[in-house]
Amino acid sequence: MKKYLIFILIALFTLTMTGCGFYFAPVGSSTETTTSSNLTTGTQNSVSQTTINKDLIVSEIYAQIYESMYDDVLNAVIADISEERFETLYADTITLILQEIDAGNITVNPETIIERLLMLEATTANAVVGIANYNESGTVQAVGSGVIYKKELNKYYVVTNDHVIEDGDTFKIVLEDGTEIEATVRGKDSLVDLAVLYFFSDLDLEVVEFGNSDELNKGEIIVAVGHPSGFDYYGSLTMGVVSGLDRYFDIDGDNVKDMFVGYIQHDAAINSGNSGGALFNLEGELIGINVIKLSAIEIEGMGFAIPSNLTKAIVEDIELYGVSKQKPILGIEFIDIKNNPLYFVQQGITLPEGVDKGFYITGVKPNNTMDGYIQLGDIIIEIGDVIIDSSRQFVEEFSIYRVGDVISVTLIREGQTIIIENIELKASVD
Amino acid sequence: MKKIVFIFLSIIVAGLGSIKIISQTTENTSTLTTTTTTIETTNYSDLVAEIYEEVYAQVYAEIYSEIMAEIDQEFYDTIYADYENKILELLNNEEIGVFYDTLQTKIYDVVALADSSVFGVLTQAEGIGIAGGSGVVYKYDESSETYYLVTNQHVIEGGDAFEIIFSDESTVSANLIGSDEDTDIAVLTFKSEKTIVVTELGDSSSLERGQFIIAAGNPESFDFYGSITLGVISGLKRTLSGNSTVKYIQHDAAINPGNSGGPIYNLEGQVVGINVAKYATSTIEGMGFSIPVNTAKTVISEIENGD
Repeated sequence: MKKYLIFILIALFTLTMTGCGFYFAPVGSSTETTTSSNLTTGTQNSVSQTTINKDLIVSEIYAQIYESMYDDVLNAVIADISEERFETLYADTITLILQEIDAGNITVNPETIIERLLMLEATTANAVVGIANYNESGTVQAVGSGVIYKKELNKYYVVTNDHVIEDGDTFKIVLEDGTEIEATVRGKDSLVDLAVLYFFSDLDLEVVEFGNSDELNKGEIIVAVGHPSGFDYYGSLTMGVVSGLDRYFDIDGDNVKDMFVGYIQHDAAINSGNSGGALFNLEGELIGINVIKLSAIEIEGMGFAIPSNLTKAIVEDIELYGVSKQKPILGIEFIDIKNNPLYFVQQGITLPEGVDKGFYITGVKPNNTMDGYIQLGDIIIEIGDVIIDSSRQFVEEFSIYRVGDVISVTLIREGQTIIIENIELKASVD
Repeated sequence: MKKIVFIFLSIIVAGLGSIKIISQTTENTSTLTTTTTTIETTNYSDLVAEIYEEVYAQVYAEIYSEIMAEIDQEFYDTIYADYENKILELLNNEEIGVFYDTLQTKIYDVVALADSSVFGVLTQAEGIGIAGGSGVVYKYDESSETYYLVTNQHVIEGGDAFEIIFSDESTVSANLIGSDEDTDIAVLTFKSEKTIVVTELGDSSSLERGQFIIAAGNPESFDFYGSITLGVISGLKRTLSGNSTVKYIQHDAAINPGNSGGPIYNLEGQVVGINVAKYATSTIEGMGFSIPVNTAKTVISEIENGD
């Protein structure tokens, strides 16, 4: 938001300047400006001299900036006072509740894991439904899990993985008793692997609430719900702990860490069929969508979920626009210089003096963000505000950017340092 | 922000040469009450930046105070009504459930300890990494400012140089003090300025089947640095084919290649075992094995004493 605002302001500003007749005399000639009587220009030797009324310019700029800025400042004010006021309100409420507790009007029950699991089982776990993916000839070609996260009258919204609905012709929501309901795909984000479906039903179905995945802790007890290996095992519930947070790793096997999602790593057992299913905290809130696990004979207990905060942002985008505006894709293939010093020796490539980190570009994908800006052999040393150290550090820091953000890139090309500006980040191109 | 402004504007004026700008005192035609000042500069972008800063700050301050002046009780009420109602609903309840479970709080304590006590071990031979594993710091020698870390012998096997890897990917080199092939224990020492907490080696003789344990380490690769998994002790005094020296702890916390040398903790934050092996076939899961810490302690002291 802030970034966006700033760019508007700069654009307006330059417009204002030129509009004021703030022109400069070419060397050796004199120009009389006409748009403002306070402006005179003269020539002195080979240096132009301009006399201006700074106040006038300031006031004109002022008016324009004022106009464009009002709403943003209003929001900032609301945010500022909200926080303060919420804290007071929170403190007041706590005091009130404590008084009530002291007076014996409210009983506090400490609840253990067992009680929370039973509560979850009775409530939000039932918001996890089955999804059947039918091909054109009406045969089921894939099944997975999905989570009902929103209800508007009799319209229900379900989030699942894109790979659950991939290549499907029609889709059905499958309830525990085997009832099938026609569902429509609203949109998807193939990069993060999420999709939103909706369906209509007069049944009173459970709806989850999104938890705040930023507040998850390593070691926190979590519960996965889904349909491993198909609907014979509908609504399977497995427990585990958060093993790690913000995990970025190479998913597609190209030896480059994928930069789209900082996954939640957990050790609750998940299997194919859990895809698109829920990861809950012990408050019964949705804190992740299970999407992948490391799978090999010697590997176990390494499941990954897309954090709920990213999920929430993406499904809101999809509801509104039919597509996600969350994750930009750069569309570059590169060698991480810091982590692959031997590559350049083997390939006989001489890096410029003093360059020991950055991305050595080996490919630029057509129609993606960097297409037209970056060339093979460029060494990118800065993207946006991220000064590149290693690919791991980059993918973590770059994750703050969204589609539509405008960034600059600093690179070394044929020994020259070049800054390319005004690159607008694009979404993935399907 | 400044940076963006400057870069953007300097491009526009590039090639125009340096210009002397003097402002002129005139009738105050502007709505601003600032006194007109004479500024002398030879740089267009300096002036631009100056005006920009001045105007920006003024606009912001003015709008802010305008809005603040308009805020009345109604404004507050609108913003907070929903929130207030929601939170006050709590007061209508006769019972409030609060999640409180000692297992969860103890896991958090162990996680905090493991995060500053369990690190990665990278073994190199002739400059190329040949094995990665985990290890836990069990001792700090103040006189030499040296940390002692225990890991598996099979993690350091065949190496000629060793590194300790921290969560921020930084490394320090480590010295191999000694290792024991029979028990699969090795001891490394290293120096570091980082905040490192020494983990207490507990007592494995009092372990019981069914007791909760927490495994910490770096499964698969350092992409999954500092992973935590929970399980229980499935069995004690297990023998594994090919080793008659060690009576292993069997547990069901998920461990994977890379967890080797990492600890299992009890819920009191003591190391009770060193992970070393697991069954890995397509039909088996949840069968991990650790060297009991008492066995490890004996071997560690032998190694430290140079035996």
